[in-house]
Amino acid sequence: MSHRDFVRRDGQWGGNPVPVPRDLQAFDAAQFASLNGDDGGAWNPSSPIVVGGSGVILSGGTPHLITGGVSTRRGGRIELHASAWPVCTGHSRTLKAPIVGAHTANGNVDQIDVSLDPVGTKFTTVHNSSPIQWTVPQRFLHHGTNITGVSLKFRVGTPHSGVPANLPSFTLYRGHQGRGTFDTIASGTLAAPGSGTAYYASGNAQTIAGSISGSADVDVGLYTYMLLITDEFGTNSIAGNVYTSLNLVYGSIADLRPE
Amino acid sequence: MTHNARIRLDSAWTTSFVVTGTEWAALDSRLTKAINGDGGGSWTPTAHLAIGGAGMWLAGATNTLGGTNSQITTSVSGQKVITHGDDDHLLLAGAHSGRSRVITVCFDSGVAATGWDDQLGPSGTPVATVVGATMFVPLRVHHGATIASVTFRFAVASSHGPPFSLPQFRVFALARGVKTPLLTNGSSGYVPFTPTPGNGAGWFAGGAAQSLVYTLNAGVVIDTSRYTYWAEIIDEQGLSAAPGNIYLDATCSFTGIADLRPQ
Repeated sequence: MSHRDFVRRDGQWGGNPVPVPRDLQAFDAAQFASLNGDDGGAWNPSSPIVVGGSGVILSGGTPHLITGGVSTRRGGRIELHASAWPVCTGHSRTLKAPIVGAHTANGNVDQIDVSLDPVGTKFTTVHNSSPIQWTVPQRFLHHGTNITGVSLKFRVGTPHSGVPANLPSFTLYRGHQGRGTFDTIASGTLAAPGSGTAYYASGNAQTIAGSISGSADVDVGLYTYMLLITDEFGTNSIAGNVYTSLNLVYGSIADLRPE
Repeated sequence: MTHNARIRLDSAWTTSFVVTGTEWAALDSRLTKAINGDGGGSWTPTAHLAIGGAGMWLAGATNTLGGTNSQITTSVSGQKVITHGDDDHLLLAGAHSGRSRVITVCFDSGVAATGWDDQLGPSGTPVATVVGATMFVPLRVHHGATIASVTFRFAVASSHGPPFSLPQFRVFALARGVKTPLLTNGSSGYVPFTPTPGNGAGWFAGGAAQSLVYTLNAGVVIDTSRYTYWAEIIDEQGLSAAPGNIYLDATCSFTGIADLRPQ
């Protein structure tokens, strides 16, 4: 139904009529079914309540709750006003960025090998503390959030007889527009293993945990983000380590603005 | 409360009834609280109006969420969502700050055949080691937006020249191997740095970052389903040119972002 029926039509309310029980029963049933705009309440209509015309304004400081979902129909849109974004609470996500050669600094391309290992970047020489630089693809940056966790996945390419004097490490930083300053976001060094065998770990994937140490807010309009990977070097170091992915954890995603 | 109460059960409305003053008052009171679906009005219920059952349709041309801090909140279960039917997306109002944005791309992700090194520049950004070297840089763009301009930034390595041909820049869309310049200027979209410096010191500018704002044709709407978008840089060349210029980044400015479609 789209509307209630009148209890009596207009022409039937002339001449000081006396309500009959049917009239009063209809009034009572009508008030029973009416939405109470003052006190609120719960209703379960058997067909949708359709509000057209001038529409509805939902105001007030208390959130309007949707517990059954909302769907738009053709022509129906939800529009965000001014600076409002769809808000989310308690959301976080992790993005795994593959470390592929396409984003490696041009000057480093002769020091790595991406063709031998399609899932990572392989150091073909011992760099002796000279890192390679890798630009974090913006597809893996979540604009408008904060980086709350960083780790680097790699695997040791060759069995080692001893633990390298300097273990693999990384630094994540961001560069300001133009020839500006650079902010360190996080850094990490592989936890020292007990032996060369433990360091090799059968060539399985290992994780270098990073710690956040600086400004970690992500703004792809103002900054570009880069990773410096320093491979093992010094006594017992051997070329061949393969760096596979950078894991970026974004915490407290406040809204759903474009990334 | 969960619902208006009945004044009497149906069976109590008998033919011998007498309506009491209390009942008339209750009927009148509840009708004053009833939402007027025809004339509209304002209500500030003390508890939520909970509509379950078949739900509610907002079919009017304008439905507004207004008031200080007012918002719609979905339930915490994660199962109750806002579903966009057909090709609907969340719209951004005309004054929404999100209708424009900038995205900066570091030239470190550039593609170059020869003539570049990035070990010398700040944080590894590309350095032209051969005058006239060309580099292509993939741009990150915002699908559905209008790209208005791209600001190129670079720094000159030393006091010299100025060179006969200053660095040139252009932006193009690439599809099926065809480059389509996004600026129609009679020069295939290439724009040299301006203004022309008066002397070598002016060109060097103390090594500070210099920039060129590259303004595209009006109304270029990004379509990532058909194109990839690129910046092209040609380093200075000709008489008095010198290698060593450092190319830093480009900032793309987008306008006309009408909705929150996936990027």
